[in-house]
Amino acid sequence: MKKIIPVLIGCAILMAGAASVEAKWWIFGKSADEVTLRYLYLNDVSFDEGGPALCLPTDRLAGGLVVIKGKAEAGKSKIGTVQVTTDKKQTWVKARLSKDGTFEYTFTPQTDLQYDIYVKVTDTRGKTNDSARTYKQLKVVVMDSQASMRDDLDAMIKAYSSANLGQFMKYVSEDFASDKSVLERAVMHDFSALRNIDLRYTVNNITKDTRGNMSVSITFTRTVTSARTGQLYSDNGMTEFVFKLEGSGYKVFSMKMPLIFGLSDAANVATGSVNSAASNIANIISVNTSGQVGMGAASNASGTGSSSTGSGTASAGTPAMLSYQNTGVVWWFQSLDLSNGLKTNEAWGTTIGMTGDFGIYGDNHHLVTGSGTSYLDLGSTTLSSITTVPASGYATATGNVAVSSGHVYIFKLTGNAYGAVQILYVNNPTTLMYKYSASGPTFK
Amino acid sequence: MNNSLTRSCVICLFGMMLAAGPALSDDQPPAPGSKVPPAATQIPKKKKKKKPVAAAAADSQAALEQAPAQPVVPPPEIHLNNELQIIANSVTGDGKARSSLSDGLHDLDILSLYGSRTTSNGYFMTYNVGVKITDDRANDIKNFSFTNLQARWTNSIKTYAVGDVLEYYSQYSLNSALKGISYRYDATEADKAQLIQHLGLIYGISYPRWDCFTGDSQVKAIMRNAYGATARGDIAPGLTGGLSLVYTADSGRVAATDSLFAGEVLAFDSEYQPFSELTIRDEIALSGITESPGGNSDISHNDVALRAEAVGSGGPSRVSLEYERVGTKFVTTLGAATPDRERIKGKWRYKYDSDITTNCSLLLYHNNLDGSKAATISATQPEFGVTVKSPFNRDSAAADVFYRIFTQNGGGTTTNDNSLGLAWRDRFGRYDSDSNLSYTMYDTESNVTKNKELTFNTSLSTTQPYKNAMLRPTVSLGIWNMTDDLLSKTNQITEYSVGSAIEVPDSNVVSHIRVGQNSLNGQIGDSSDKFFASGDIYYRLRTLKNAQAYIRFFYNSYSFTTTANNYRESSITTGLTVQY
Repeated sequence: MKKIIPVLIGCAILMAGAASVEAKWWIFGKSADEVTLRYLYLNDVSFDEGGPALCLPTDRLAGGLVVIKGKAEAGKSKIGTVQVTTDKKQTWVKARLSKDGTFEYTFTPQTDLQYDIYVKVTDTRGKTNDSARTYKQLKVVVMDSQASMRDDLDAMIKAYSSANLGQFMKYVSEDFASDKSVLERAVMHDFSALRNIDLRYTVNNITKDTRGNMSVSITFTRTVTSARTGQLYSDNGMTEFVFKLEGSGYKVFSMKMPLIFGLSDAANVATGSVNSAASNIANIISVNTSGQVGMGAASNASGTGSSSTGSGTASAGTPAMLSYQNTGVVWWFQSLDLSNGLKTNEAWGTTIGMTGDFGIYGDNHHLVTGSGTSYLDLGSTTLSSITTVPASGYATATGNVAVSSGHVYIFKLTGNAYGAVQILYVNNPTTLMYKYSASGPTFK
Repeated sequence: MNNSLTRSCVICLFGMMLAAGPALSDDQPPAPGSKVPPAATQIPKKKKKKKPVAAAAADSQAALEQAPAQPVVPPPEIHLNNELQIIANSVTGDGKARSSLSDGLHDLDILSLYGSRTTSNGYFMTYNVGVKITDDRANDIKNFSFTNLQARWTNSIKTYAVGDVLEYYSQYSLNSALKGISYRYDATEADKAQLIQHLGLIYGISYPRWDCFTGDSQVKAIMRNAYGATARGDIAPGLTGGLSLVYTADSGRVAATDSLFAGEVLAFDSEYQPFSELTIRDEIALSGITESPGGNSDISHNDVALRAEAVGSGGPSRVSLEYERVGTKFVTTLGAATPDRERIKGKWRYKYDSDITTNCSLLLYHNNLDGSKAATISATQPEFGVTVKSPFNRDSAAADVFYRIFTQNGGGTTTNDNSLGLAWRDRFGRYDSDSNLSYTMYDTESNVTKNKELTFNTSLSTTQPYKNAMLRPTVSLGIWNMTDDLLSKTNQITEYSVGSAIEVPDSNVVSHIRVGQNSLNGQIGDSSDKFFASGDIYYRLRTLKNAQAYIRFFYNSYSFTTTANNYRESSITTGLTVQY
């Protein structure tokens, strides 16, 4: 990580400069002695964000309090007082003021009442700031916290379904556990790969702690169309989120497998797996780094759920995905039974016990053939061009041959059956399409 | 279905009776025939002139500054929310197996009860119970389930909770809900001098739902017992630290291949604020967990995770620097971590003035920290964005521009993606406009991916009064064009829709309707067409307080190049929401 050192130096310089950069925000006029506000927040929401009106549910007020805090400046002069009004300047109350100009004002709001807030700073010479520019209208309402969380989750799903990245990311915490930028990129990839996203859910469990954090478990059903292949995929399962109370709303802090957002980089987005039956993650929609959509087992983010890749189904003529996973001792990978499209969980420890006709495993994407199966690499061609295949030249694969993207492999099976497989994308999972002939080397 | 529908109706009727009835309280009226002394003659109280709110707030502010406020005992409260839905679904066509709807008539009832009261020994108690009843397997795998069960007692110093408990000890140690019991101690202002300011204990089982306790095979999960303890306090001026230990032990495999985990995570975290505009946070955690894979030898996961963050804010600039390293073998059963990753990130947000804000960030990460993988994957992601309010002197406009690069090396491939995006919101007379344009180039060597994508979507809306109603019509258009340079083929998606929101305040009615079409013209794979229509009507009842009735519907018709995949689905939902 030699690249890190100049980055660290650059960021440290930025941080040192942050305190010394002349603040142009909230400055009025050109005099250096202007009375200004360096920053101003209401319950951690900046006054110049979110518009002039703010509506907060009571459960989003830590300790039931509204907290207005900021920092006042007066150039060469000194700050005399900072006052706050909540009734449109009818009455003013002094805020607690520190020597460095930081101040804080708290009050316990009544519900369903409108507060018209202004902040006035006066220096020791009697000069004041333009308080009109500090206006904020606040209303505090009683709302069921679970209902308000559901509203936020509905808004997230609506933004995701309509591929509105900016709106979606507003509901993600800056402290998102795996990294907000990683999630943003993964969601952008999801929008490239998926269309007609139809996501519905019901809540299984909501648990809230005393500081406003919330753990939510949902059952979801989902239908998507692959933007590349036009194929339609649907799945259902159970997943969990942790939301943190930040400023005026709940923001997603962490997500567990199986994911409903950020499928394109699931391994880096999820920070855990739902403790549930293996069937919950066995057949879930997935998107690989090339934008290919398929169905497969949700891979385990932190190694604490089901440790295998799971089973599933595939069908001829439809892109299928075979994945693998290394737990440190055992390589798990999926094999495909070409006659019935069944994907089976396989383990490579010291020996291989294959159930399917073939599998692809490991970071080098090696091919493995099952008992009684042999293969022939026809090179770079298309599946649709394959009609009759050679009767000889086949060999077995024991994990020492890497598959290649775009190649077509013919598998000679027991009982004079044949399968033709085209590798579309080599990755984890690897995407392929296939067709099957139950009798003889001619495909119909 | 009939039995569950009957259950749902009974519960809904019960809820409606409660909604129409008097408020519940400890003070019950005397039973008929009881000997109750006549009420004492009341001297009429002088009506106090109500102070302005700000004056009242000023009074309370001054009172806080002068003397501790007298404790106010809130009256007992109980609230009930019930939402009952009857859903009629229809799915037809050769490809109907692909629909996620359950054909036929179904019901869904979500009921939650929550309340509070002050106990005789001064503890404030809150409780909540929630249930979900449905016969639609798309909504839940079981007909009946508890969504939440919790009771909590607190006197602001000691807090006890039983049922659904959630305590956040630290990111790596405990970040999940349990079903069990918890205890929390928070020091008062008078005890600020003592070292331990907060103490926490917890025991529970990490089940995702309550019916996991029944052992039913449909919802069976590994039984993960968890024990946790944490202590937090002020180590020095401006420096707080916390220590947490979480031990978990699994039992009861669901599948023979499931792994069971047992062991602990010990974490230390701290926050240092030398002055108000700089905050430094860090956490270091050690995991000592043994994994028992089904049918294989045990695996030890002993490793370290650490992260550090420094945030400087308070002026026009907000700068943050983050570093995280999660070891390859680091495992946390109840925390949140991405193992085998080292990450560093710098962000700078600068408000040039009240109208212009810039955002820059640089993210670097890589895996294979212990060198056990055949290849190391390294990624770099710089971003730059600008937000401008009132560009070109257009007071109602706002623009966002961003440019993002993503490069990744390793595993025999190199990825180099570039994205450029522009969002523009504006108002033209009575019409609001929201448009987004982005162009992305995806490139992964060797010949894995080489795409160019152009995305554009725009919407135009307005608000028009009509007699005693308010109409908000909206027109939307979206285009997505993807060219695959490797296959020399292009896919294009076009979507358009028209809709409107209708509000009639005098009649307590709010309604929405939307109709549109989404067409995928695919040279790669199938083409598809989707016609969609949806709408709803919400009516706030006058006869029942806090009750709302609604009807929702949607219709989707899918057609594909492979006509055997075509299908149509429709759904009508009638619902009633009652709040008390």
